[in-house]
Amino acid sequence: MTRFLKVACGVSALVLLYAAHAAGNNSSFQLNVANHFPDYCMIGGDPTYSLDTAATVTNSTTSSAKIDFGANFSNTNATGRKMSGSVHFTVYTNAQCNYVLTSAYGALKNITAGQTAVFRDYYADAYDVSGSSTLVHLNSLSSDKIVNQFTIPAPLWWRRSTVTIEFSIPETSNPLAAGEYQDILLLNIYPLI
Amino acid sequence: MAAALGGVAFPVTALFAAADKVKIEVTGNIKPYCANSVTAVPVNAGDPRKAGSAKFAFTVDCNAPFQYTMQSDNGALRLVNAPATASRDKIEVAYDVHIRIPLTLGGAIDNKCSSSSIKQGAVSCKFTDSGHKVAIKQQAETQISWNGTLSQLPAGQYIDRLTVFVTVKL
Repeated sequence: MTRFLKVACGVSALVLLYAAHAAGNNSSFQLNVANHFPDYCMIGGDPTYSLDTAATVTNSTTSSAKIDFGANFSNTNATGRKMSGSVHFTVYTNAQCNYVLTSAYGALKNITAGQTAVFRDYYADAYDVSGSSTLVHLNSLSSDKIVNQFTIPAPLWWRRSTVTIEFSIPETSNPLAAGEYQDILLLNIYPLI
Repeated sequence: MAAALGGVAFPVTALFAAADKVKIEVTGNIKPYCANSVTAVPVNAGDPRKAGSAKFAFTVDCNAPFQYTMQSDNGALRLVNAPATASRDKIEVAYDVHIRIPLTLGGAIDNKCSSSSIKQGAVSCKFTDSGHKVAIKQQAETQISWNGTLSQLPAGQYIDRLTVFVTVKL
């Protein structure tokens, strides 16, 4: 019986379990794990929310959610109500990770039929909580607007970071056109190789 | 998973995704409304025997597509305290009314009606709605104008009252 276990780099628990299973069958084998862990930047666990105005969070998963302010989006006279909020999530990394936050509409867009080119300004940003941030004013009519991008250096081994997407919607003095307003913030996280 | 040399080699890269993303959708609703939905304006023509005009303004504040109507109490400038037996042509002066309501993001509603076509209970003038547009805190203008009349009108005050109704278009 020759048993030779060579671990060239980090081995996952799954690999070890498989090796133990093979040994239990009393068979000879050689396990070569010549791969290495890839660089990864991964979200772990469900996000947490902090919202200052009554809102409904629906379809919340590890990587997506809908924050609906409903009728709280405005006052009774249709002027825009002040709102803010943030979403916090945990990121596990073993590499230098790049974060890019984009806005689908560059503002809150009235997506009700017929209400074209009607927007509500707001501010948003994404940042590592260990750093600081200045919210970016979104008042552009451009789509897929890059709000911010930043890089977190590679750790020696691995790191658990808390990253926040924060937004602030100022009040408005003038009434806003009726309808449903929407923006989609997308934060892409990827290793910088 | 692949076997090699009697052993196994794991494609470890397949066990982990290298990148990730978060999508947050932020939404809210604003209900349709029209403020100051009824505006009543007295019209005083002064001496209607001579041609003249008068203007007045009112605010239209609708955050959704809207429609409006205007109606006149008398359908004409009418002599105050006119004798009950007097014929209408002796105590009334017809006029035209021109309404202009600017719309947010450009354009305007522009309508002209005769006073008789907006008489209360018998409104026949066609008023244009705002289409898909809105009018948020827009200053609307109304101008009434009348021609001088050759008939002998009794001296006195000739008045009417116009009322504007603005409602959200359903």
